[in-house]
Amino acid sequence: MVEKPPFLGFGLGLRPQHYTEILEATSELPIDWFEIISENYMVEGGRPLKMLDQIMERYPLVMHGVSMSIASTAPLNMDYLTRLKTLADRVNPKWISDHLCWTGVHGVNLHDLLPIPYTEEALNHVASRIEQVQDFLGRRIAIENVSSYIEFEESEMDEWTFVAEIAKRADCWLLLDVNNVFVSGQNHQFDDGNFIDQIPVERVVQFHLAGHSEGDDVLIDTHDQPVCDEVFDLYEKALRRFGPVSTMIERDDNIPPLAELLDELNRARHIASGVLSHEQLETAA
Amino acid sequence: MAKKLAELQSQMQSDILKRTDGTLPRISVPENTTAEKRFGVYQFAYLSRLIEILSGDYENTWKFVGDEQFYQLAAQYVEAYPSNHPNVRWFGRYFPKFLSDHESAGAHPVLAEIAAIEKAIEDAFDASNDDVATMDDLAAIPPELVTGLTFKLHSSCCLLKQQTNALAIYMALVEDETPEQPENLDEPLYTLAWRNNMMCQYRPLNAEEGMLIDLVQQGQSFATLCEMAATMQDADTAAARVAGHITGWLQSEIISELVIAK
Ligand SMILES: [Fe+2]
Repeated sequence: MVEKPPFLGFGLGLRPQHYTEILEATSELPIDWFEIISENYMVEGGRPLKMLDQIMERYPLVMHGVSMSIASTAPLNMDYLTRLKTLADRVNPKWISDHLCWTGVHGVNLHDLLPIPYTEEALNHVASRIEQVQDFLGRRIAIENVSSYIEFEESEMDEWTFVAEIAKRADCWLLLDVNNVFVSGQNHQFDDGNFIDQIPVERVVQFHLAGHSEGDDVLIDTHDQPVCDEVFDLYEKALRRFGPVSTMIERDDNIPPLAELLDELNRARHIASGVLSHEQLETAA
Repeated sequence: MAKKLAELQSQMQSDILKRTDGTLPRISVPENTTAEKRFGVYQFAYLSRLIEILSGDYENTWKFVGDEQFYQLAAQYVEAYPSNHPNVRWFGRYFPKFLSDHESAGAHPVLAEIAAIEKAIEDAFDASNDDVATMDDLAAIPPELVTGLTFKLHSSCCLLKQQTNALAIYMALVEDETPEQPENLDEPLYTLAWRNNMMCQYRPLNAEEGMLIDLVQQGQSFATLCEMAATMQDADTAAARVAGHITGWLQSEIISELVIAK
């Protein structure tokens, strides 16, 4: 197996609300890298691409998409993948990720991260789709576990078994969203620590830390709240298992001032410094 | 082909779009809840997410009609135009058309025109980074070729020809002022939206300038622009007026290319 991409340290999701603060900061910000939402920059021109060009001059970037629909039974959207590749040529990201989910069939896009049953059939289907995408992009991609609110009667294995097996069969990386593990663990009453323990260490290249909200008997993956204590606890556990993994705060809604996100990121840094050695953390530089 | 998965996805999508419950027997949930409730999270999220997107794209249309009517119109739009683009950025692109088709159902035509202004400005925001022609480019054209000159508008340009006071209402809404009552205008009003130095701009055009931009879009030459301007106002000063407009367009990045006739 090839070597994992580098440990980037502690990053944030890049959001337009923070462009000015990032680009006009007078002192160096404690942000090691940014993750961009690929779709936000799959446009013809204007300010988004101008800001992107300026930010990529100063920070390492990774690309994160929401529309690959890798688990869909609709044909792969080659137009989308072509645009994704064009953007990757511009950005030169450390890696590209998307979700283990589907977003629609029959030409419709539901703009949601929809779950699938964990069956042998789905495993074969998704693994072969990831391989096709990787061939097309000419690079390994990272696949992220999603939050879900339902499970399917027809599932033949646990989510963690499915995720681990996908990584092995498709020979792809994994993006472990710690909040999604927590949310799904609560929603489906499984042990989130065990989920973490079942994921192969050598596959995980990135962690997401995010907030969720509480519905009626359900946790919902809204990314509009600070990361909760339980998710930070699970993050600590994940660090013990996976070692140094590029970590970021993923906030998509109810976006606070940059300083608030930096506080959350510092908390992640602090936890990591308690778990990892100086040398392990240093590889970020 | 993953047949069982394909069949599940068709069922689930249809249940999300139509709020039906065919998927429920295939769902397992813990005892503290029901499959209906949990699947409902996806059904609810679908509609609310897309309505939120529309309310962001058409903020002033929303402000103008208020929450209740906007929600109703948006929900009908979601049903009439399910998203078929991987990028949610383009989900709302048919909303002005939807609103104008909706006029027969009693909506005032001003609504579609306010939405059209918002769409034109949003489209200018991330339109292609075309080249921008300058006064120097114009000065470099040999005088004998000027009459045959045609102009390429910058991709960010959108010329609107509107029948209502949508622009006045839109401008009041942007400033958080109370807008005037909607009404039909005696003469249509041209408005141009475009991007200048990475900033979205819009301004009303007088009848002559509106007509000229319209002719530019049709690929008409400088000579034709002058002829048509001569029919609008004083014929003797037509060429000077057209030259004045062209200067203004060049200075505000409206023209991407000066094309010399072959
Ligand atoms: Fe995530």
